[in-house]
Parts: sequence; structure tokens; C-alpha cells
Amino acid sequence: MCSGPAVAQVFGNMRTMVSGRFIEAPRFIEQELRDAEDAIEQKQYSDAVVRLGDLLQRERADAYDDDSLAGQDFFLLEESQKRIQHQSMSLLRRARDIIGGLPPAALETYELQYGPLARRSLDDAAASRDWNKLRDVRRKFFHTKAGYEASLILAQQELVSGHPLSASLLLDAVVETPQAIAHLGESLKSLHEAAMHLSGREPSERSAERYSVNQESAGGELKDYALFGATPSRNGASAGQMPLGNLRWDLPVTASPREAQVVEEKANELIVSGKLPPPSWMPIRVGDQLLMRTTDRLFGVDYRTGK
Amino acid sequence: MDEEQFPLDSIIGDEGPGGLLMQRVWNDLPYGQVSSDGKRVFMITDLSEVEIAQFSPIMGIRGTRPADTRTNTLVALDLETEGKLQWRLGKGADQASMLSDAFFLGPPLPLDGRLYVMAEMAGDILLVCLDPRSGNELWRQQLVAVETGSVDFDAVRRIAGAAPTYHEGVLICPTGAGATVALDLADRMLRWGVTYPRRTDVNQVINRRNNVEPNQLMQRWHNGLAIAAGSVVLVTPIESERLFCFDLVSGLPKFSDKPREQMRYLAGVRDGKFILVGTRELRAYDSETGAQLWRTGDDLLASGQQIAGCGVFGGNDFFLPTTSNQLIQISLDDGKVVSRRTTRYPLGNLVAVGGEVISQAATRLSVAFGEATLEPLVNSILERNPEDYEALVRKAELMIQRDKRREALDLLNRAARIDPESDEVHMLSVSAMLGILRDDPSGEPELVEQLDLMIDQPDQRAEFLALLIRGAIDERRLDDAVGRLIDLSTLLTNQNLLDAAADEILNDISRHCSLDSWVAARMREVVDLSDQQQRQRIAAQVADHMAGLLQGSTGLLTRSSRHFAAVGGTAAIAELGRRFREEGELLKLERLALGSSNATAQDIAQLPMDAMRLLADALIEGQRGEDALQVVDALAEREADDLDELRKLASQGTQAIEWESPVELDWQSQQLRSRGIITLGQRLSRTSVSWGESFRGWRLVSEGANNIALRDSFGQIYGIPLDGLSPRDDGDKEAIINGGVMIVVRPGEIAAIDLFRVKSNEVSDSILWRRNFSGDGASIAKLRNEMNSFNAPVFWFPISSSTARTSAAEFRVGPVLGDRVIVLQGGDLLAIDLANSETLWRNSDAPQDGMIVAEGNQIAVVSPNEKTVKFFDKLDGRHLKSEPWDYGKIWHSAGKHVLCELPSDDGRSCVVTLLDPFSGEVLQELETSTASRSIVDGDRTYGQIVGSRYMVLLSSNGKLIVWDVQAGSVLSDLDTEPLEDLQRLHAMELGGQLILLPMNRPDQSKLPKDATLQTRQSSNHHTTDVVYAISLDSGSLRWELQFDDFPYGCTLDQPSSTPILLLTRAWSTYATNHARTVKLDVQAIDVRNGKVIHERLGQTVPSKSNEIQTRITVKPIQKRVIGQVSGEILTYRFGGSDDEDDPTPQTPADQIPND
Repeated sequence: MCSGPAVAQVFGNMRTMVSGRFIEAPRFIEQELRDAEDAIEQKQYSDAVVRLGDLLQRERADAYDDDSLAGQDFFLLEESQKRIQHQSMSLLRRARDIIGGLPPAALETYELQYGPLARRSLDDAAASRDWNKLRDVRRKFFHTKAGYEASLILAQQELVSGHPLSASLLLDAVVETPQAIAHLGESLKSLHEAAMHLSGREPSERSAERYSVNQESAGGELKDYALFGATPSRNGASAGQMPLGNLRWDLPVTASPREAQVVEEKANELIVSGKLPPPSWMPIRVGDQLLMRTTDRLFGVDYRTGK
Repeated sequence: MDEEQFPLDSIIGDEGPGGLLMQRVWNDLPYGQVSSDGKRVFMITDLSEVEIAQFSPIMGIRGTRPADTRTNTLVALDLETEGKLQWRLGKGADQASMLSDAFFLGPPLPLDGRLYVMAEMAGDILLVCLDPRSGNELWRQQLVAVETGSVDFDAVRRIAGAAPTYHEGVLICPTGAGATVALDLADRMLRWGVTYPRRTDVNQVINRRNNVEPNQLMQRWHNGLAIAAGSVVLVTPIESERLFCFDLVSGLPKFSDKPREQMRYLAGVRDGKFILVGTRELRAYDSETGAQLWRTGDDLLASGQQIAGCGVFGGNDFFLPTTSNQLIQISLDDGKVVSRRTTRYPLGNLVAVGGEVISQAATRLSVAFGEATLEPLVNSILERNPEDYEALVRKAELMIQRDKRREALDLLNRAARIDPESDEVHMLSVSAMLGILRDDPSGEPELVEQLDLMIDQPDQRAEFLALLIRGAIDERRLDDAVGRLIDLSTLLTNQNLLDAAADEILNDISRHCSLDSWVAARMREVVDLSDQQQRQRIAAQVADHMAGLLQGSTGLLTRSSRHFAAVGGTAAIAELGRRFREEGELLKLERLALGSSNATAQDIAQLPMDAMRLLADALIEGQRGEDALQVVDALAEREADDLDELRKLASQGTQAIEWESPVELDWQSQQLRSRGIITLGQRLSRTSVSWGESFRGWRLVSEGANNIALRDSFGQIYGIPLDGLSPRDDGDKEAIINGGVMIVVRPGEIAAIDLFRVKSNEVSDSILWRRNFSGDGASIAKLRNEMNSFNAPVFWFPISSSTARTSAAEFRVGPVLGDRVIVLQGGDLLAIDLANSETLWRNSDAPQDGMIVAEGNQIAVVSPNEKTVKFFDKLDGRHLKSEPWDYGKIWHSAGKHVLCELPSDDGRSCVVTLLDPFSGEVLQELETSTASRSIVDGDRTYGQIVGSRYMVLLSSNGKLIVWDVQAGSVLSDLDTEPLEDLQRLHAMELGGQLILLPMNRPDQSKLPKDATLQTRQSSNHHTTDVVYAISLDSGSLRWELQFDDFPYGCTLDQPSSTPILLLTRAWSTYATNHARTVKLDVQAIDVRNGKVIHERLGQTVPSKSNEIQTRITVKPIQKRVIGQVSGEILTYRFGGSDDEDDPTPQTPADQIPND
């Protein structure tokens, strides 16, 4: 046990401590990006295209691949003295942006290099109706024609399923690329605009017509409550209503009456002092099963009977 | 889940109130949360107890626990097979993987056939994407590197865990490590990241033993999950204690971050506003600007009620669970309460799904039908089949819920015809009938009769009886009321009823009161309403009932006799008295005799004579002769018989000590072992004695290893082993002595000490109980003082603003009554049982601050800030009435009286009023000058409160006024020699008189040029130019003492039984080589007549010493008084020397400190 002053010293330092730090990109990966930029400067586009294309395409071979950094992204850190530090540019985004900014001839090289593979992947994804594979096409081959198509399909899907914001985000980088517009047509811009308006990112008169397909507010229909916060956006459901004063069934969440008594006593102490926190646990309901943590285990209960 | 199919965590049920149990209930988010993808359920296991790291400035953060606490296990169980294990990852994995060393921070987020989970590995926090079927890792992304040690040593991070949120294509990962990272999920590309500082109060979480207080770790955001809506992301990181709002697209803050304050959790975002839920309130803010839109009113929660868990949204409302099983529906438009409902199950974290509401509280999970869903369902079933049993019962339940009880009874009768044996129908019928009775307590006789037969639940019976009692009292059927009170008393003593039953009976949102207190208060009401004849009948009825209990346990007898205290219950009290006396439980005996009386000398004289005799027994047995004699005198005044023996016993040991002449002095100089000052090391706290002559002059002190000790009137110390206090707490304590009990008050904590045991040197058994008002041992208030118009200090405990509802809130303790102590905590007034520290009642309708006084059956809280006096029933805390208050600030209170001061606008004069707030009568009033420094030409008046009872005012024109605040009378109104340069007044109570020590402005011209005079030291030894002694019996000036040339200094806390008053001063002179010589003057004054017993001038003392405070110990048996000043020991022998020692004082003037 160390002395009081030592603790004070350590905690004194912690007062202003930020406990998490963003990780810088490993030098060899950053070097790839720099080499590509150098190659562009020297107009050696094919070299640049291969370097950047590989960077975006890189992925761990499998879960046991030693190169655990493969496919990972890194912030290109900006120094700041602010209390709250903000980073917004990542290595892969920069690589993708650089490709998007290449002259048409260089992009043609890129298309020649990666287009066929991208196209095959797109066809494969379409055939198997695998949205994750489609996302892979966009992620790895964003600036190929197949990549643009994948983005468009993904954005359309988001839009029709009531996620205009997601759709607009998917199209943000696409509409800024003339080749993409040339390939997909001007209607792409309209789609992006519509998504922007619908999501409220760009307020306009048309935003009044915004159809708010808000899944959360449709909570009255909620059948399952499968995770804390009800939905992946954690914004809770809206299915609350006054319950009857009498219960349908109940179960203890402690392992023994003695445990219950000990917990009750502690709870009373916390209530009296005005410091009772909400419990750590939150049950979930999936189909006819209610799943809940107790003080010693996970219980699955038949929801209809409480058994 | 079947135990055999899956190895469970170790059972922790039988290890007592251990940390792991409490941790799992309130302090372990990774443990408590589970998730499911519809086919499987995921949870984290192998989570051990949170420990704090040991910190070393050299090694950094390190711990001693085994390395395997750095990993845990993510488990997937199959739902279809009811819990068959599918796979495990991490510590408990069947096969080694890249995640074998992972500490999973929370359950995974299932999304589009993938799982996303955050884990810590080798100092980095990662986002890992898993295949839900196999648990195989698909990809990973590093988020942050952790700088503050691994998660198993970082209590704050360990409790919080971390889990991602997905919104509009973006995965938001609050890491729990001071950073939130957002990724474009489709692109697996970092979108934005922010870092923010860790909470700054983390060091306060470490207690003095360098341990983490789990309770303090509960004071945090409930969880650190991000909540996203539209383009807004809100995060409440546990590690930062702030709320952040980021733009989903850019990650830039939407508005500046907000401190948590008393907030508990972020409920969610609805219609452009986000809702924060605190311990006692809800607030809504604009999610774009952060501006507060509304907050709930002060009337949201009742006294002692608190928010119990995470609520749910429904329509345009929020449903808030609270601790008194009340669910509150709050409108999201304006924060107004839409409706309230009391449930018959505990409320905790809520989930509303499938038309039902699930509540998981600390010990139970309950499921109930949602009213809105149930009604159409039931109606449609009944339309198809009007005799559907289930639908009839549910419909009846709905009707009861809507107070349509007669309709409900009809439906239940129909249901009963289908299933006559149904318990549910029976229970609901009782509930409906009770409701009818609640509306009309006088009740239809048939209904009452039927209910009486039907009720089989104790809490329902309690309510039934209470309703009948209420009805009988209202209709003045007093005999009937007493009969029912006896029934209820019997029920209470046989059954342990829940507090909820009491709330049901009370039906008062601002008040909680134990059923025992309710019964006692109703009994008092019955007695007050009855005439002489009725009273006799009632007494006989109660006596009959009590006679049957005399063989019962002490607990039963105590409870029952308290129920019927209003009618005496002589036999039971006599029996209890006999048992307590036999067991040597003198404090219990004393408190039994006092009952709930106000326990002042005046009130004791009004007690029933039997009680007074019991009290006299306790006092004699406890060797408190002076108090016993007072009781005997009071009995004699009421013409009681057979007092001779009692008086004889009481008189033993009360003879005044004879301090005979001659007096000899033995002066020894101790060699100073080190350079510098020897401090006397005794720190005194304010101590008031509201009753108990035997304890007059006793003081709460801290000395050496005794952080809490009592010093008796002879200066003898009794250490009290009260743990958890440190010397730095000294300044913040005070004590209230009432007979054999002392309440030690610290900011936010009180402790009760048995003084009978202290007096008999059984100090280790003297601590009766301690009660904390902050829940985690932390201070909620600070002792403050401010000088009033007469330069006298006025003390109070303002509650620190972070815990108080308003800035004026105050923590005040006292008065101590026979069986309870009254406490004001902000706007909550509480009566606490002296026997066991339980709350007898609590009323949150009290003023935020003020003085508390008691008389008869009333408690008054006088609040000058709120310009009101509020009166409460002493027995059950009912608010009785309020009256305006316009007498200015409160200076002091004693007994039932309040002393107040109202300064003029220019501050030059002040009206002092002594009044009885219960009668409104002004007992004394005067207008006088103040101590204002702006007064140059006129008189100035200085004041003091002495012995927590007497107000002394001394003006520079010589006018001396003493009021006895407790008695409400003038003790002295004297003219003394004017003191034109009066600058200060100090005073103390010594040997039955008030010693006044006025100080003049120092006249520099009179002082010698070559020496400096020291007459003052710290806050306890003060300069005095003259000493006055005022008799407490007659109020006359007994003696006065003037000094020839220069003033002396006097230590204020000399033991009150000392026969001598020691005055000291020191002269310092400097030689040409700057060497300092210190000479001490000491004068010993006979406190009986003011004569100088002995004076020694110019005693050379070690030149390092600046000490002139005196410490006196009185040895009555040896007839000695020992005074200590720095290293000088002065022994005064009264009645001549009893040994052959050379009485000539030694002169240690030539001794040199041995350094």
C-alpha cells in the first residue's frame, strides 16, 4: 500500500489525464500513402494506383493472420491543445479521396487494374443477395464502376428502409466524383439531394415533406426487446404504458432469501440517503423468452407463464 | 437457463454483505447487460469483484491480483434449446484464438447477421466483428490505446464497460476510456473520433485507506452508451461525468458539454429534445442547442421517494419508476405529471414490450399487463364470450384501477360463480372493497363485516383497521377507535409489515411515517378528544389489553407500550422498568420513563409520577445524583409520598466538594524534549446540554488517539472508539447531551452514545448507533459560523450545493426528545428513533433551513429565510399549521424558546427578542446598540451565548443583561463600570456562575517599550481586562476582578468544576544579540469569591515556547488542581500538604531546553 501523498500525486496527474489515446498509423502503412502521393507528384500514376488500391483492399487473411493491422484504419492525427480533441481524417479515407482526385487517365488505369475483380465481386454479391459482400465491393473498390454501382444500391436500400441519413452519407463521396456521375447519371445527384433533405442535413422547403420513418417511435409494434436501449441506436422504444397495479407474475433475482435481505437493506440505506442508482441489469425479451441476469446467473423464463 | 447445461458463475449468496453481490446489483454494467440476435443470447461471464489498483509513483499503476482477471468470457447460448452453449470466447474459450486474452467490455451489438463487440487487449480497446454462428472473428479495428492501466484495475472503466451503438450506417463506440470513435460501418472507415478528459473527482473516490468506496462509485452516469437520433449522438461517459452531444456526420460538438450534477441517466431523444433523469427530477433539453426546455417540479416526488431505475417512453410521455412503487407518467411536452400509479410490486429498470411492462428491481423481476393493451383485448373477448373467466377478472382489475369498484365487484362475483375457489378473485374483491371503504371510512356496516371476514393479507388488514380507526375518530366513536387501535397494535406486533403498507394508509405524498408512529399518534388524538369519563374507559380498555402482554418479550412490550403511551400503560412500563433495571440497561430505563416527552427539566416535572420514580431509579443507579434530586424535588412538589429513601439515595455523592485553605503550589518545569511549541493537543467541539445537571460542563473533545472523547467537568477524558474519523474532522463536530444520551453530530452523520456507560467507564459498549445521511459516508454539509450583530458566533451546517435542493438548505440536528431526535435535512424533517436510529417519520414539507424547537406534541421549524414557522405533529410528523415569522434572524434556541435579532437598517442598533413560537408570546425584548465598528461615538454592545442556555449582552456603558433562554426569563440586568474601549466579550460557565471576560482596545502607550505582551492564543485563550462573575441562581454580580496594569489571558474551556480560574500572560524581551527571553505571569483566582489565591510573575520559561493556554485537571479526592501551561506543571494542593515534600515551588528558570 503506498502512502497518501503518492496516491495524491498519481491522482493529481490524473486530474487532467485523458485515459484513451488514438493510435497512430504504423510507419510502414503511412509510408505507403506517402509513396503514393510522391508517385502522383511525379505523375507515375500506375504506381500510385497500385499502392492505394492495395491499401484499400488489404484485409486479414483469417482470424489467425498475424498481421492484425491489415484492413484497419487509423486517424491522421491533428495536434490540438483543446480539452476535447476532435479527429476527422483517417488514412483509408485519405487514400480513397486521393484515388477519387486522380486525373481521368489514372482512374482508367485504376479501373483496368481493379475493375474486373470489383465487377466479379459485385455479381457475386448480387447473385447471393449478400449485403455484406456488396459493402465489401464498395469498401475495397470504391472508385471502380462496380464500386459506384454498389454504393448506389446500398444507398437506395437505406433510403427505402427509412434511413435517408445513412443513404446520404453513403453517397457523399460518390456525388463529389465526376466519373461516378458520368457512370451513374445525373439522377444520382437528385437521389443524394433527396436523402440530404429527408435526413434534415440540408433543410429546405421540401424538408417539410420529410417522411419520418422513425423506427423508434413505432415502438408500439415492438415484439422483441433484444438489447439495452431497444434498438441499435439505443434510443429506447415507445411502447411504455401504465401497467396494472397487480402483477402477472414475478421472480426473485437473488439467489436466496438471505441475499435478498442483504440487498434490500443496502437498497434502503441508499434510498434513505437519496443515492440509490438504477440497477445494473436490464432484462431482454426475445419471442416468448424473457432473459434476465440474477445475482448469480442468467435465467431464461417462459414469458407467458413466468416459469 | 439450465444449470447443468452451462457452468455458472460461483454462487455468491452466502458470503454475507460482500462487495460482489452489491456490485452485480448496482455496479457492474458488463455483468448486468445481455443481448440477443433472435437466435442466441450473449452475455459476459468471469467478471470478478472490482478492485482499485495500488499506485506507486515509481512503478505507476500495478496490482496484486492474479493475471487472469484481465480476461473474461463472452458466451453465446442457443435460445431454441433453452440455453445450450454455442460458443465461448476469451478466458473460457474451448480453443485458443486471437481473442483469448480479451476482456470483453460489454455484450455484443447484433446487426445484419454480425456481432459488434468492444474488447480490451494488451492495452488497446478494439472493435471486433464476429460471426454469431461460430464466434469467429471476421475483422477488428483498434479504437484507442489506454493510458491509465488495464480495465481490471480501473474501477471506473470496469464498472462502466462499453458497447457500440449503430445509427444510420455509423457505428458509434464510446470506449469508456475518455474517447468516442465513430466508424462508417459499410466502409470500415474511421469517421471521427473525440477524446475528452477523465472525471476530475476520481481522487475523491479513494477514501483515507486508499480504497475505492463502492457506494461512491455508484454516484455516476448509469451507463456510458451512446444514444443516437437524427443527426445527433449523445454520450454520457461514466469516466467523464459529463454529457456530450456530437453531430453524427462530423463528430463536432453540437453544444458545449454539460456536467452530470445530480443526473443519473440519459433516457433518450424524442421530438428534438433529450431527457435526463436525476435522482429526484427529470430535465428536457433541446438536442440541437442544449438549452434546457423544462424540468419537473419540486412536487414530482414525495418525501424519501426516489427514482428507482430506467423508465420507458410511451406515446408522448415518459414513465418513471420510483422507490415507493409509484410509477409516474410525465408529459414530454412540459414535464408535468399526467398520472401516478402505485403498483403492488417493486419498480426498477423497466422494459415495455408486447403490451406489457417488465420491471427488474434489486431483488425481484415483475411482469404486469399494460392497461392500454389489455382493455381492448378484454373487451373483445367479453363481447365474444361474456362469461370468459380470465377476461372477467382482467376487466375487474381494470375497473379497480379506475376506481370503479362497484362494477369491479359485480364482475368478480360473476367470475367467482365460475371458479369459487379462485384466490385471485378473492384478493381482487378485497382490494375493491377496501377501495370503497377508503372513499368513505365511516363505511357501510355490511361491507365492513364482509371485509373483516374476507381479509387474509396482513397489509390489507392493516389498511382495513386504519380506515376504520380514521372513520371512528372522525365520528367521535372513541371507544370503537380504541378497540380497533388495539387490533392494529396486535397485528403490528405479530407481523412484519412493509413500509409500503404504511404509505398506503397515510396516503400523503410528502410524508412517510411508520405504522407504529401512526398508531401512537392516533391514540394521542383519541385521548385529546376524550372527556374525563371516556378517558377512564379508554385507560381501562388499554390496561386490559396490556395485561395480557406482560409475559411477552421485551420487544413486544416496548412496541405495545409505545403505541399506547398516550394513556400511560402503567403496568407494561413498570414491567419493562423492572426488566431494564435487572439487566442494568439504565439508558433504556431512563428513556422508557421519558417516553416521547420533550426531556427538559420542566417537562420531566410534568411526567406521570410512576415514570418519574422510574427515572429517579435510573438516575440514582447511574450515579447522577443532581438529576435524581431534581426529580425527587419535582415529585415532592406534586406531593408524592415516600420520598425520604429516594432522596437519601439521590443525595449520595452530590455533596459539594470542600476546597479548603490553605492552598499550596508545587511548580514543576518539564524539560522540553524538542524545540518549538508543545501544544496541549486538546481540541474542543461545541457541546450543549439540553437536560442533565450531571453532565453540565462536559465537552466533546479530540485528544491524541481519541478522535472522539468526552471531557467531564473535572477535566477527565473518556475516549470513545468511534471509527472512521480523523483529526481533520475536528472542526466539524458538535454534540447534544440529553440526560444519558449524547448525539454526536458530524456533517451528514449522527451517532448516539450511551453516557451511562461512558460514566461507568464502559466506553467500548457506549456507541449505540451511527446513522449516515449521505449514503456513502461522505460529508453533505460543512460547519460554518458567522458573527451576529453583537460579534457572537452563530453556527450552522449548510448542505453543500451539489446535494441540496436549494442553496439555503441546512443540516440541523436537535432537539433530542425522550425517545427520538429530530433532524432537518434540507426540506426534510425526520424523527429518528433513539433506540435504533430508524426513521419514525419524515416530512418533506419542512422549510429548507431553520431552528427546530419542541413543545407538547408539536415540533416547530422556525425559518427566517422562508419567513415562516411550520408546526408538525411530534408523533407522526403531520404538518399542522404554518405561521408568518418576522422577528429577524435566529441567534439561538433552548428548550422551546427562540432568541432572535433584528438589526436596524444602519446596523447601529438591534432589537433582540426572546419568544415562544408555539404561543407566539414575546417573553423578552430589548433594543440596544450593536458591536458595529462603524459606531465611533456611541455605545457598543457585545454578546455571547454561554452554556448553550444563557444570552449575555455587555455594553460599553456598563449595561450587563443576561437572559435565560431556556426559561424565557431575565437573569441579570446590572450596571457595571463602563468599559469605553470595549472591543470583545468572551464568557464561560464555571462553578454555577457565568464568568465574563471583556476585553478593551489595547492601549499601546501603556505597554513597556522593551517587551511584548502576549495574552491571546488561538481561538481558545483570550485577553481579558476585567473578570465578572454572575450567579446563575440569583443573577447578581458575585465578584469582579480588575487587574492593576496590564490585561491577562484566560483559556475559555476550563473544566467547569474547577475551584480555581487560571489566568496567564507572557512577556518576551530581546537582548542585543536577538536572544529571546520569555517570562510567564500566572494568576490563580478562587472562583467562589474572585480572590487571588496565588500569583507568580516573571517565571522564566523556555524561550521557544509561545504557549500560554492552560489545561486544568481537577482531582477532587486528592484535593488537588493540576494546571499545565506549556511545559510548566502547577499543582495546587488544597487544605495543606499531605506529605512531607518541600512545598517551596521550584524555579526552573535556569533550565535550558534539551534539544
